[in-house]
Parts: sequence; structure tokens; C-alpha cells
Amino acid sequence: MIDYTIFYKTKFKPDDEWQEDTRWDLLISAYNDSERVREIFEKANAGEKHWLILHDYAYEETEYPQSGKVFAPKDKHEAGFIQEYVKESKVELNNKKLCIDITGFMRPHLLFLMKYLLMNNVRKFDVLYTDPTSYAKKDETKFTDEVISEVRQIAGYEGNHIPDTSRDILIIGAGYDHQLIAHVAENKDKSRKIQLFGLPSLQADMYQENVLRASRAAESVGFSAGDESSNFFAPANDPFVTASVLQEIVNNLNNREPLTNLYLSPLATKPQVLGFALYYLTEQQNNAASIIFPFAGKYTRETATGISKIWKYGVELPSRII
Amino acid sequence: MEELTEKLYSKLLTLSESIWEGRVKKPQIDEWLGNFQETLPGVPSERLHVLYLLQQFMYFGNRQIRELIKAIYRDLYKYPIVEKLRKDNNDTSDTQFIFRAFCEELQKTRFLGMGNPSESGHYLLYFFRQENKLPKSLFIHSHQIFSRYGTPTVELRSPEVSRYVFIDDMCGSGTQAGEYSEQILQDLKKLNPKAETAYYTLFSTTLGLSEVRNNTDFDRVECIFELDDTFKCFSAESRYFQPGDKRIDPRFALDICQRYGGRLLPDHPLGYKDGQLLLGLHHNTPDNSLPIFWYDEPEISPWVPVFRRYPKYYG
Amino acid sequence: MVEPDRKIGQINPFNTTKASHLSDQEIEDYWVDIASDDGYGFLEMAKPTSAMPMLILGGKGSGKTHLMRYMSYALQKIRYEQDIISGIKQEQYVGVYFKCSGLNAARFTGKGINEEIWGDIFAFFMELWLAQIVIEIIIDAFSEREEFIQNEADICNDIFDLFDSPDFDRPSNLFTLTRTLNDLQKRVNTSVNNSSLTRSVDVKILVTAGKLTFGIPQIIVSRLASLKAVQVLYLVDEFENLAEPQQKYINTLLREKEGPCSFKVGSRLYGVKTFGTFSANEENKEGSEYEVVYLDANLRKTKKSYSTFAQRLCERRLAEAGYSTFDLKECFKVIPSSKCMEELAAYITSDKQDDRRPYFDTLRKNLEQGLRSNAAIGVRTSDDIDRIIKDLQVPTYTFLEKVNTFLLYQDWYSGENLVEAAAKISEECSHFIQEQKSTRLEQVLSHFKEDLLAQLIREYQHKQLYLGFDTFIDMSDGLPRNLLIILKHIFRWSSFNGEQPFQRGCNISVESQQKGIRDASEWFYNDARLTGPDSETIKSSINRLATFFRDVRFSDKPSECSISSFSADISQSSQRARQTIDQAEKWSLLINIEGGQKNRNSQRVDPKYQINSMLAPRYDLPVSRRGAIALNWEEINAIFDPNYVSEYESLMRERIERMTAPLFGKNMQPRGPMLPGFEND
Repeated sequence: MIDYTIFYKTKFKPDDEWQEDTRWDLLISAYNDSERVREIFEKANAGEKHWLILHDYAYEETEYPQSGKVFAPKDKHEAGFIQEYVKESKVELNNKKLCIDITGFMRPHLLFLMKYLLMNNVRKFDVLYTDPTSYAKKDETKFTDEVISEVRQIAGYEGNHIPDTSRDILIIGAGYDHQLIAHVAENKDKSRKIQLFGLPSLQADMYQENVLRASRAAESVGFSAGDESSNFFAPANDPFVTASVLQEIVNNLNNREPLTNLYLSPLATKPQVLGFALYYLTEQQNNAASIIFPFAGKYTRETATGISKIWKYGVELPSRII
Repeated sequence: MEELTEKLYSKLLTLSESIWEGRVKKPQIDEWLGNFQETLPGVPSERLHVLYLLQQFMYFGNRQIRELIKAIYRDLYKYPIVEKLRKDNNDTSDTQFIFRAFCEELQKTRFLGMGNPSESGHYLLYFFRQENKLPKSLFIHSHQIFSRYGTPTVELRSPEVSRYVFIDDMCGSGTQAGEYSEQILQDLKKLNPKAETAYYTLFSTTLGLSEVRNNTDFDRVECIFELDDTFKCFSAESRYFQPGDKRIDPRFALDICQRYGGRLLPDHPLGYKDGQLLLGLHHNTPDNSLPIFWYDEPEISPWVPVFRRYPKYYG
Repeated sequence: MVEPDRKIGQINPFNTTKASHLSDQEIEDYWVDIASDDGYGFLEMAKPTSAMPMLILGGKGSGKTHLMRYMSYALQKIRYEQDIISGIKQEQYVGVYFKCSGLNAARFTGKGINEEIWGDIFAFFMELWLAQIVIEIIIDAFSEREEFIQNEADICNDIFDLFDSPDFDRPSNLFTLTRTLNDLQKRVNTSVNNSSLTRSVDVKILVTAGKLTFGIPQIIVSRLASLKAVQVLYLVDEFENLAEPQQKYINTLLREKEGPCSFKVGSRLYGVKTFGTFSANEENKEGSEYEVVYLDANLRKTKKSYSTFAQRLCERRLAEAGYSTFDLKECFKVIPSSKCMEELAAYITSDKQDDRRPYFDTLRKNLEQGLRSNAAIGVRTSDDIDRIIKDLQVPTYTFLEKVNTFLLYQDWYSGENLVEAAAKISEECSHFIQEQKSTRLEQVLSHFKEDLLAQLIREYQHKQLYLGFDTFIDMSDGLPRNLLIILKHIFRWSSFNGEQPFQRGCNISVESQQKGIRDASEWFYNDARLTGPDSETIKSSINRLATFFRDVRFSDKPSECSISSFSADISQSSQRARQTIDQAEKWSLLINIEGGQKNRNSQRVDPKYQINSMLAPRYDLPVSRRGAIALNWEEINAIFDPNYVSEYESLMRERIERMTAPLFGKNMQPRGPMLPGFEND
């Protein structure tokens, strides 16, 4: 059984010197209004720096950043978007020291990018993520405009589902956005739901804020945050432990009685999204498992304030599928 | 104002169900509110202000504390060892090898509670062992570090031990950790200068962290949650009034806490060493938190706490 | 350390409010049939043995899934634990239940691939999917039985022959066959899943649409004697999760249905996107290709049965959670109704320091204004005003004072001399108190009692009261889940407030009920989680409508009593408005009242809609439905069509002014010189 927790991670403070091992050929980041996204882009040591302009933030061309190379693929679908970027940039991903700052990424794009890298034999690369000091409006922070257009599987994470749905499980990475949680839960209305909360959270008060917000979706999820058998924890800023917690939850449930279909929906922090991707790509590809996501119309360009810590994760994708 | 009170109570209901382990419900809250002046029309309401603070109060229940204890072991203790093992061995991903090598390191480690055995450091240690499935042999009291302690022939009881890890729930000002460990660490380093000593806590203020890092002999000082000045309720950067509510006046809230806190603990009206925290843990409320939440010594001063603190009696 | 004790009282028995969260065993345990005297229950409604396909439509929480799962093989197995085959024989059907969400059907579209190709692939995928479910049921039910062992090879052969061009070996037993079907399905999956990368899809279709779906049941029924005359009933749940072309495919199956199969298709009210089929693009017609059951509407129709059903449902829940059963009505504190409503008056005035009568304050202001603008007949001086108010006073009975005030507004509206009217009201009131003879008060109370109480409660700055189990049943109005949610929220507050809800001797307080009901109402509003661009239009339309109702209810002289409904000839209004009304109905925000309302002027029967009672607390509206206000097309447009919203304010103001003193919508000129102190402001 793979142990995800052995993968490298380092944290440093914004004012720390960037170490020798933080030097890359290419940095890819997704543009938004956050100080934490822009500052990292400026500071990171990379031969080449690419900004991706995502549709979801609805930037006008006049608002595009001045530094780095800017790519704004037209395709709105996550698979089309990433493929268009690669085509347009003519970038060769598999012979470069690659770094991706996932802080500003949209989750579906991030997920597909991971799958795309795996398919193109990019097995090792670095990922950066910056912790905010706090979210702008605490437990009232809005991340999306909350109009959900559809809930569907993410390209590359569609799995081989089976007709027996008697022991279907949906594991939700429960973030602040209760509307997203509610939509995803309703879409898999008949599955048993499990919520994964970020603990340790990025900051001490964020766990509580998170639970308060997520509890607004209690009716859709079918239980409250006090229900111990359906709530689990994984650190908000650790993709590797997240993957290993998923592994543990699924294995435990499977041992009790084999699951029929497994649905994962990472709606919390980006490191957790990365953890979900890592787990899926390593252990669930081609199983009756998929990652589903509620697509919202528009995302807020700036939700957080301050930079608390910068994380660097050394991602190692599986060389063979388990 | 009524609208805000209702909103706050709604939040408190959710907190009560999901965070507070059902410990505090409305009757307890109302009893606590009884400490403060009744709300009168036309004047700012003390009760509204303290309710506002209460719904910001961070509480970590039994299950959450256990999770954080796991994080101490996994993230603070185990992770750096594994990282080094991999780096020293050509970035190996051989999990069998890593596991074996890590177990060797683990065998050469001793875990200790910070402070007197009756204090929370030791209480946590019990869960630490349970949650991380560790053998009892790795846990000792500080006096078990040495043989013949206090005599000229003092020596290390287990010279093969290369790591001593001290665990505690909270590092507030850092003074206690310094005082308690000073002698032990000095003696230990004398006998085995290579032994690595670590101090890991669930929570630590930025101040406490740097205090212990700068003024003690610990080689590693880390915590799961660092509480910077934004967690100080009335600091200039306080996170508790951001974005705030126009019906809540931070200065008035400060005035209330100082006034009542001063009656309860004249030397530390806003918590031990001016901690100003809004933090409670399943097993106790740290004294760095605002005393209006936890003070519970009716024989000295009549006061009904909402998250009581089991006081430490220094004999 | 001991974990917190989780005993009775700490677990909310209403926490699980969805059938989907229940296990098969729980579905069986929680099954409560509607208790109608003539024995017409859920199964009579759903007719599992009928050959005619059925759409089971219902709002969210109407119990569709519960009903459909009850008919499923898994539940039949629990019901006939000893001998499932004889159970099936007895029930004469075997239920093949599946949820459309399990298909993840959103994959079968887009990605640069022709929709027709997607249609074929989806149909093939469905064939494989359904075939597996049916065969697995057969294996589960029969595997040990002699008749099956003898016939298994033939069944396999027959099924193999259904394929047009099989590229796999003839299976020797059903188990191998399901493995093969599963492999085929995997092949489809892989190709479909990769299509977002490859922008192409390569699937070989091995069987004609419908061939397995109908063929396998036919083979089984003909080969297994004990299934003779048994219907294979496909229970297609969550139809709303399919896109239009995919629904068209299911519709085609319904249309071209072959014995021994039939279908029950469960969907939310808004979930049916099309009735079209692929059979020469014909549309399925109700009555010929399918019949429809509207679950919640049916429950509403049988009010008494629903009430008993709902009560039993709750009692069952409590019993399951370990509570001893007793009359639920006794669990809630209510304020008893009486002729003069003394207890209610005591409740609303209990926190008041002074003896102010807010309705008299308002009346005085209105009379003063009326005097100034020459709009209060008989009122010439401020002394007249004092006299009127004095006449209306009944110091011991706050409520009667309120009624008297209302009577005066009525007289004012009718142009009576107010000084004389007040004197008459005073007389009538004392008759009423002495119960001498039938009075105007009685007549008014028979219509407006609830509204006058509501006004009184509001004037004393209290929240409207929605108390007691019967009120909650009325609010849930045919949607059992709503009742469970109301009780769940009340339980939460009650427990937080330190009460012991649903335990003997505990009366859940007014406060806990009030808070819980408001949370439930808020949930209902927010949970109408409409997807798509129209969601905001629908919600804001409902907001406008409800706000208008509220203004009517709290006006001086409401034109209708207990208003929560409107009638209108909506055919005259804009298409957009009609669309919004239709969607609001599908999302159960509006409820179409069968029979409509006869228009007072034209005698035409107009459709009538009630705002869902779950929303009542959100807008201080009544739960019961009595009066319906007739709206004209302009008003309908202003409420339901975003293009006309700008007219909403003035149109509604005009309406409300007709119910407001002193002018009641009439344009009057101020009289000559004013008395001192009564100048215009």
C-alpha cells in the first residue's frame, strides 16, 4: 500500500530567502486578484513564467497582468482549456523542472492538469500553495456567486461505475462554500455522505468557521457536523495526508462491506484538491469511482487576506496504476 | 439589536451542536450572561457584546484535540525524520525501508509531558500514545531521563536515546516551558550533547514560540497552530472585529472585559500575561484566554463561567 | 476520558429527513401507508401490477423515493424473508429499481461529438446497465432453486441470441453473463471517459435498443414457471438527472414497452424535460402511453388521511429513536383559543411596561389625518376622535378592542358616520360579551379572526405564532419531508433551550417552536436550490408576491381574509410571467389549487395558486388558505415577469391604498380652514 505521507513538503515564510531547491524551468500559475498569488509569481525563481487566465474570474483583456507570459485559452471545459494552453504555449512539460502554483487555480482545471501531466509522463514536479492569514468575511466569505449550473464528473476522473448503487459513497471535501456542498450532495442524493473537514485548518479559527458554514448544508448532506461517524479530518494544507486519509476511509469502509460506487468531491482548499487527485490517480483510476464537481457561474477574484506561509509540495505521481 | 442577538443565538445553536460537544446550551449561556449588566434601552448592551465574543470563541473538543495530537506526531515529529531518511538515501520511495528505518529512530525517542505529571501535558500524552498507537516504553517522566539524578554520579538512564520530545497543549508566554525545562535540558545536554530535544505544542502564541526558541536549549520548537497577534482579542490587528458589525464596538467590548476581568483577576484582567485569547479546549480552558469566559472560583469572586477552567493550584 | 453520553434527548430523531439516507431495512421499518378509510393507500395509487407505465411526480420530499424503493426487489426480499419467490408471486411483480444519478449521464454529451452518436451510445449503455440489474436479481432470488438450475443454460443461450453481433463467447451461466456485460460496459466507459482527451468515441454497439430491456424479462418469465404472470417492473428514480435526449430514450422505452415489463418513472415536478420519443418523434400522451400520479397533490387532496399519515410517520420516527409514544399534539405548548382570546392577549402584553394600545394610536393618527383631509365622516373635532376611541375601548379584552377597531375601519370604508358607528360598535360589543345575540363581531371573527390576531401580535411587536402539531402538518401540506424538517428544527432549538423535547411531561416552548419553524421556513426558501439562470427570477417573484400578501394582511381593512392565494386569468399575462408561475409551481413554491376560482365579474374559472405554507413564517402569512385575491394581468406581469418589475411598486401601492385609512384609495380634497393644531404637516 502506498504511503503518501513520505512525499516532500516544505514550508517557508514570505520573507524567508527562497532556497536553492526553489528554482524551476517553468512556473505555471492562475491569475487572480490575491496578493498571495501575484507576489509568489513575482518572487519565484523560474526560467519561464506562465499566467493562465481562467474564465471563471471573468477578466477583461485590459485587466491581464503585465509580467510573465499570459495565456487565455477560450475553451471553458477544463480538458479543452488545459489542452489548448499546452498547444498554444508549445511547452514541453516532461523535460522541465516544473512548478505549479495552485493557489489561484480553479479546482476542475487543477484536477485535469494533474491527470494530463500523468498521461504525459510528467511524474515529478513541485507545487506551491500559499496560506492566507484569514478569509475576508470569515464564515460569511463568498467564494462563488452561488448559482450552480451543473454538477458533473471532472474530465479524466470519470471511472467505471456499476449499476448496483446500494453502497454508494460520496466523500465531500467540505470547504466554506455550503452551496457547493449542498449541490453535490443533492446530485448524489442517494449515496451515503462523508465529509472531510480541514483539521488542522490553515489557521486556528478556520476549522470552526468551516464547520459553521458547512452546517448550512446539513439538510442536503443528511447529517450535522456533530455526527462523528460521517465526519473525518485531514489537514487543510497537506495533500499527502489528505490522500492517505482518503485511502484509510475508503479501505475501512470497503473492509466492512464492499462499496459499490465511490464519488469524491473536493470542495475545500487547493492542497486538499491536490490530495484528492493524487489519491484518485494512484488508487482509483478505472474503478467504479469518480470525482464530481458543482460548476458555479463565477468566482470571487479575491477572498483572502495576507500571506501566512508558503508551502512547497514535491508531487510524485504513480508510475503505474495500482 | 434584537436581530443581531437572534443571529448570534442561531450561530450559538450550531456551535453547541457541532463544536461544543453539547456542553453549553442556552441555559448555561443565559446564566453566564447574568454576570453582566441587564440590557437597557438606549445604552450599549454588555450582554450583546459578550455574546458576540462568545460566538467567536474557538473551542476544540475531544475529537478535534485527538486529531491535533495525531498531527503533532505525524507532522512535527515523524515527517522531518522520514524526510531526512529519504534525502539521505537517494530520495528512496521504498516504503518498507523507510518504515524500518523510521522505527529504529522511534525506538531511540522518548516522549514526555511538559510540566508536572498532573498537568495537561501529561494528560495529552495519554491520547498521544493511543492515537498514534505507540508502545508504552517510549513514554517517560522527566525524572526517568536520568539515573541517580541529583547525585554527582548522575547518568542517562538510556544512553541510546537520541531524541527527547516534550508535549504540551499550550505555549502562552513561554515562561513556564522555560522554567520547567531549563535544568533538565542543561543536565541532559551535558550528558549527551548530541541528543535532540524538541518541544511540541498544539497551540502557541508567536511570542511564546520565539521566547522558547530564543531562551531555552530546545533544538526544535514547533506547534500545530501558531496564534499571532491577530488572535489577541483587542490587539490592533485583532481578527475578531474584522469585518465586524456596526452594532459592536470593540472599545466597549474591551472595557467590559477589563472591568469584569479586573474584578476577577486584578493582575491579569485579560488573561494570563495579557493573553487575550478566545480559546477553550476539551480538557481545560487556557488561562491566557479572557477570564470572563473561564473564571470559576466562587469562593473568591462570584462568577459563573461558560467554559470553566480547572485551576492550577500551586502548592 | 469518556465520550459525551449520547442518550435519548441528545439525538435528534428527525435528523434523517430523506428516504435516500435510509437503509433498505429502515425504509421497510419507516413505511407508513396513508390511512384512508376505503383502503386506498400508496400502493393502490402506484399500482405496481398495472401494465400501464406511470410517471410518479412529486415535489422534493413528497416520498417518491420511499415509495419506489418500497416496490424494489431489495424491499420485497425483506418483506418475504422466508421465501422471496412466493412473495414475488403474491405481489405479482418484481421491482427493478435504479437511480438515474448512478449513470452519470452528463458524460454522454458534448466533447465535440455528434449528439446522435451520443444517443446511440447512451442507449447501448442503458441496455447493458438494466440487463445487469435484472440478471443480478434473478441470480439472487433463484440461484439455489432447482427450476433455475435446470433452465440456466437455456436462459443464457436465449439472452446471447438477443445480441445482434456479439463479439464475446456464449456464456455458460448467468454469473459469467453479468461479468461479460460488465466488461462490455467498461469498454463503453473507457471510450466515453477518454473522449474528453481524444475528442472522439469508439464504441461498437452490439445490441438494438430495447432488446435486452424487454427481451431478458421475456426469457426469464417464459423459462421460469414460478414467474408466470409476474410483471418485471422497472423503477426509474431521479428522472430529473437525465438530459433531454436521454429522457427521450426512456420515453421511447415506455412507448414501445413489451410485456411482461412495465415502468414507474419517478421525477421531481420540474424534472420532466420532454415527453418526446425516438419513435418517429411522437410524443407520449397521458392516458395512452402513461398515467401520472402527483404524489403531493394526492396527499393534499386527502387532507384527513394525510394528517393521520403524517402523525404516524412522526410517531414511528420517535419510536425508532427510543421515545415512548404518546399523543404528539401534547408535546407542544399552544396558546388556547377562546372567545375573547385572553391568553393570547396576556402573552403579547406580558413584556410591556405601559398600557399603550398600539391599534388605538394608529387609529387616532388615521382619524386625525382623516379630519384634516375631510375623509372621516362625522369627525369634526378632536373631541369626536376621543369619543370614538372611548367607545371602542374594552379595557379587559384587548382582542375585542382590536376587533372593534377593525369594525370601525370597515364602517369608515363604507362611508358611515364614524361617531355613530363607534357607538353602535360599542353596543354590539357588549352584546357579544354577554352572548346576547348574533352580532357583527361574530360575523367578522368567522372570517378575520386569524388576521386580526396576526395584526395584534404584530402591533405588540411579537413574532407571528405558528404553534402546535396540527399547524405543522398544515404547513407541510402534502410533503412529509417538510414536516420532518420542521420537527427537526424545533427539536434543535428545544434541546438547545434546555428542554426535553418529546419526553413525557415536556411541553416544547413557544420560543423553541417559533425559532424552529422560522429556520425550517428559511431552509425551504433557500433549499429551493434552483439551478440555472431563472432561479433568481423565480425567487424574487415569490418574494414580491408574498410581500404583497403581507401588506394586504396587515392593512387597515384587508380585502380578503387569510390571504395566501391569488387567482388570475394568466393566459392574458406575458409568456415570461406564465413561465415563472409554471416553474414556481414545479419547484413547489406555488401550489396549484385544483378547481381554480370563479371570477366574480366574468364567472370565468381562473387558475388559483397558493404560496407554499412552508413560506408562511418567512412573510408572516397564514398557514390556512381562505381568501384568494384576484389579480389582473398587469399585476401578474409586475410580479412574475422581470420586464415589468418597475411597475410592481405603483400597482401594489394602488391596491394597498384601497385597504388603508383614511382615504381607502379615494381621492378627497382637504376641507376648508383647519382647526388649530390640525394644520397640514
